[in-house]
Amino acid sequence: MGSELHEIIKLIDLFGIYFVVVPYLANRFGHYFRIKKIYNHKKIIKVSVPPKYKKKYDNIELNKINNKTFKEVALEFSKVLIEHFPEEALTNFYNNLNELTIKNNKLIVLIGAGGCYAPLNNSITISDFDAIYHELFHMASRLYSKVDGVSYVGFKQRSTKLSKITYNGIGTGLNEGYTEVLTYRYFKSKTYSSYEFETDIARKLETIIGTDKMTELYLKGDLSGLINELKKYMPEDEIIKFITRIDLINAYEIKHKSIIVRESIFDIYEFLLKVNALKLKKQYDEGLIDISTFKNLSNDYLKTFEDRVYVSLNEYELKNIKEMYEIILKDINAPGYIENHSNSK
Amino acid sequence: MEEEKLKLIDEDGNELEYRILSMFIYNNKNYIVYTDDTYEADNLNTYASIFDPDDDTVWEELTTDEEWDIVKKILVELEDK
Repeated sequence: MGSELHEIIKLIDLFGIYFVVVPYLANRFGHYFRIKKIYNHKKIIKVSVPPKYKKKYDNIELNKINNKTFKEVALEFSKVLIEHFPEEALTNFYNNLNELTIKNNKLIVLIGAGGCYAPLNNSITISDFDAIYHELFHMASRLYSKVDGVSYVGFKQRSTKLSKITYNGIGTGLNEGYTEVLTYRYFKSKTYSSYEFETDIARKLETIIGTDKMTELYLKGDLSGLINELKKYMPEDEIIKFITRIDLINAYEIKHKSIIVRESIFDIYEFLLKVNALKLKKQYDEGLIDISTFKNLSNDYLKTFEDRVYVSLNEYELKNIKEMYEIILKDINAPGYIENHSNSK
Repeated sequence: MEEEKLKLIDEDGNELEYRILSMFIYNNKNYIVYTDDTYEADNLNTYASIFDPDDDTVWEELTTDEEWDIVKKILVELEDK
């Protein structure tokens, strides 16, 4: 049905009359949008949209950005953030925006970067234009304390008193992953293939924390807030281990040592599956969901974990994810688990 | 969540109301994707136009394939949700 329908769509589109958008999930949900390019109303003389779409951008000056193209992109970025995020989450963004500088420098490609953001200087350097939105999100989530010498950028935290060569901070991997999630979500920019794994993990974590909460914590540069959210379900040492495992995978020199990467992936997956199961169990214990919903949500989350994982284009096969999950359900006394397994004895 | 409404007044003074599906910014223009909640063969009729948040008399049609491609991607994402 899919390919036949796409052929029909191509023919209709040639006439520019209307185009039936058939998303790949359409057969499951059976809902279609029919885009109508022909406007069948008379000339419009007045338009009224809800207030949130009419926000003024008076506070945006961008005086330190001289390049016209960069200025336009920064302005576009600003408008999207103001439209989509609550004001209380944008304090860092407003503090950094008008002092931001953006430069072009092809040489940074030599260190494998399409772009980079320097939190101490609040400056972006770009070699690949597609990287700019990613770097702007770093700017929007940056908080730098000169007093204690700590820089917070999204979920990354680093003491500036320590050498960058030996210590890149905690939360780097998760931060890069979630920055990619937001960059793609709001700007449809291509994602860096070297952050594919981190992006997938960040999405899985967002499912647990919730989109609004996770975005708020990210923009506030609040790693400790994220840790506190996870402490509802897991002890702090397990959470720190989870975060540093992602950092390990993110570190360039580790990407080619497969045993360490494989074990880290396993630990990360185990953590996420356990936290999600505990969250659902809590909801069940509080009467918010029934056992059927617990099982459905539980299985839906498990299905997002592939047994073939790609880290920096290297493939890793994880064979025992389902078995691992069974053990987790047993350990946490998941609803329905003990009953089913007692009956099977 | 309360539905967001787009209201238009045409040259005859008629008020038209639509439900907003999405809004995005592209090349410094503001686009709005909306529907009148009518259906044709089970398909929801969907429109897109350009407006200016600072000038309520501006209402333009989309003219390029690029613009329509973005609208399509947004609708696919809405489906995914």
